[in-house]
Amino acid sequence: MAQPREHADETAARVDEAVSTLLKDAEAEATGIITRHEKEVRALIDALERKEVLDFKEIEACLKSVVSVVTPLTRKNEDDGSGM
Amino acid sequence: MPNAPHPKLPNDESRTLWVIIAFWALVFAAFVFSFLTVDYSNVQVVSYSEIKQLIRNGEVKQALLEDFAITVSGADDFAAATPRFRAVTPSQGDPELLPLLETYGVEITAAEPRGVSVLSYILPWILILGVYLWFQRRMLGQIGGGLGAGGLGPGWLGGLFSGRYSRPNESRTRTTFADVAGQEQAKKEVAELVEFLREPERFQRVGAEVPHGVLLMGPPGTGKTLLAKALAGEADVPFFSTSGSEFIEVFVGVGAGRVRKMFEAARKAAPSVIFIDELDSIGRIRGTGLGGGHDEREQTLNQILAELDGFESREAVVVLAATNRPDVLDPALLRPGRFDRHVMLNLPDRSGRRAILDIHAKALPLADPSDLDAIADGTPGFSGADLKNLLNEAAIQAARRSASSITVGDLQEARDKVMMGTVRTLAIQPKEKHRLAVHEAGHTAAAFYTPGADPLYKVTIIPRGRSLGGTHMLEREEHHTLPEDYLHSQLTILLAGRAAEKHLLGNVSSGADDDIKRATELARSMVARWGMSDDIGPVDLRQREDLVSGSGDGPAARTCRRNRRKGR
Repeated sequence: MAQPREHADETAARVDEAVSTLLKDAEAEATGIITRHEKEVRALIDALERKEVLDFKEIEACLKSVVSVVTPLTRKNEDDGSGM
Repeated sequence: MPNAPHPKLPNDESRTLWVIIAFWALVFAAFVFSFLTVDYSNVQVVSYSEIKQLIRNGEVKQALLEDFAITVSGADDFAAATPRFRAVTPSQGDPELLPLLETYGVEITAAEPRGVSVLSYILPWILILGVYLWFQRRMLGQIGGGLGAGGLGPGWLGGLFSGRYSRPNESRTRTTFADVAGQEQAKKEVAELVEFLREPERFQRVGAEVPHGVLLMGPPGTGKTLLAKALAGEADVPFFSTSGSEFIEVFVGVGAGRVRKMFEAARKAAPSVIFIDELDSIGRIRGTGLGGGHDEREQTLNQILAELDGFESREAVVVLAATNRPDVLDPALLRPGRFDRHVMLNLPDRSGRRAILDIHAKALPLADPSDLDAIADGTPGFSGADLKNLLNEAAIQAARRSASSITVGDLQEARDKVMMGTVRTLAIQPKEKHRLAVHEAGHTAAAFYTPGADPLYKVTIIPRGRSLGGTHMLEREEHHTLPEDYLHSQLTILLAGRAAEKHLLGNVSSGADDDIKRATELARSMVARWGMSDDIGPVDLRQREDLVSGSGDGPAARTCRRNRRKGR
């Protein structure tokens, strides 16, 4: 059942635009991450295809191999705690 | 009322029995009667001519003339043991018979003509009427039940109005507050009512009015029903429980009647607890909805409101209601004097989950009870019911292995099953599998490298439940609001699968369908509800009200939990 909208069509269009901007930005960022870490991601894909299931430690082993990442150390501990 | 619920059933049976007994008694009586009239022993049936011959031979001393038969005897007395002869007289009439008998000096006795009894006229009608009435009653009984207080006596149309609440039952295993864990705040608030139920006089003395209506709100599975039961068990009072939807019937007015009945019964049993589950099914805001209202629902609701008002302050009846959508409830239900006390039940935190697991695991043979710590750690966002289900799955796993105790492996497997669904065997082509791996690796990498995202738990390309693969993250504890950067990272993670496919394989697939849908939902919420777009600013521009459930953190938290559980 159609309910009347409480705002103008023009505003709705702006919302749509803002939404798509958000999404495009997010995709660009995701692509950026993957491009930056392509080698690690490829290692992860291989591991994933081989083993089908990877837990956090295995993911970390693949992704953390080359460069140290921005991930703060505390987070890793937290993951170890809650991951298992 | 509690003692006269359905007097129909036993009654009906005994009545049927009586009808059958009466019927056979009648048949038997008629049978016996017809034999008793004449003593037929020692009687030989012969032809009419033979009888006449016997008379002519002078061997006959006595003759008994009946309507259609003649019995003759050689002895002076009919009672004597001499053989008697009987023959049916021709209906044409034999004018010679009587003179013949006179001639040979036979003593003639004539039996009184056997008149047709009135009974034989009436009996068939009585039977037909009886059977008709009996069937009619039965049919009515099936529709109605027993018209309880209606006054027409038991047995007419009553079940329609008597309501379908479950009546208090002493033999039920008592639930107490010890069975409720992880809801300390809610427990405390409900516990106050126990004292009121136990000794209402103490409150009356100081003129305190105790809340009659308590509304339990919370996500599904957080133990609303359990808490209500615990209240009744703790106070040791009768517990009337029903579901909101059970009031509603096709006929308008029945729901209201049921409400009346139940409150009446509860008042009689006071102090007592009434529990109405799923209140939102009747307690919805009145007068909404297009194309006419919902008369039956509104009447029922009105009746509940009236009943809540009607409690005298000294009646120790507490009405508990549970709902997981307090936002759609009629405001009149929530005002002081009705459901004025609101108890919020939340999803349990870590220690709460541990306590819940402890309670449910009490009866289970765990290999090592400390395994539960790990499970409590790894199940954020689980409700009490989820946890119970998890333990049950683990027990099933153990039983399948024919093991005597539940190991940590069983628990882990059960958690994966509950979180992600059952493993599905699905033939996947190598090429498709590669794409799947790329997709999931994209999600995983984005989650890994984005600061502030939820910690990763597991990534899999084994099809489970409805998804083909999944990247599973664990929810951070206790977030009631979602910061903007966290939401941005969610968007990035959701779209990273597709980005990975695009970047590493050069094209995209339909596998990102759900990702895109959820990302769009989230982005729309961010823009239209939470004002996270600078261009538009903090304006509420949501489109359809009914899809979102009111308060701020609800849907958001839900969306994100979904992201985490079924991330694909």
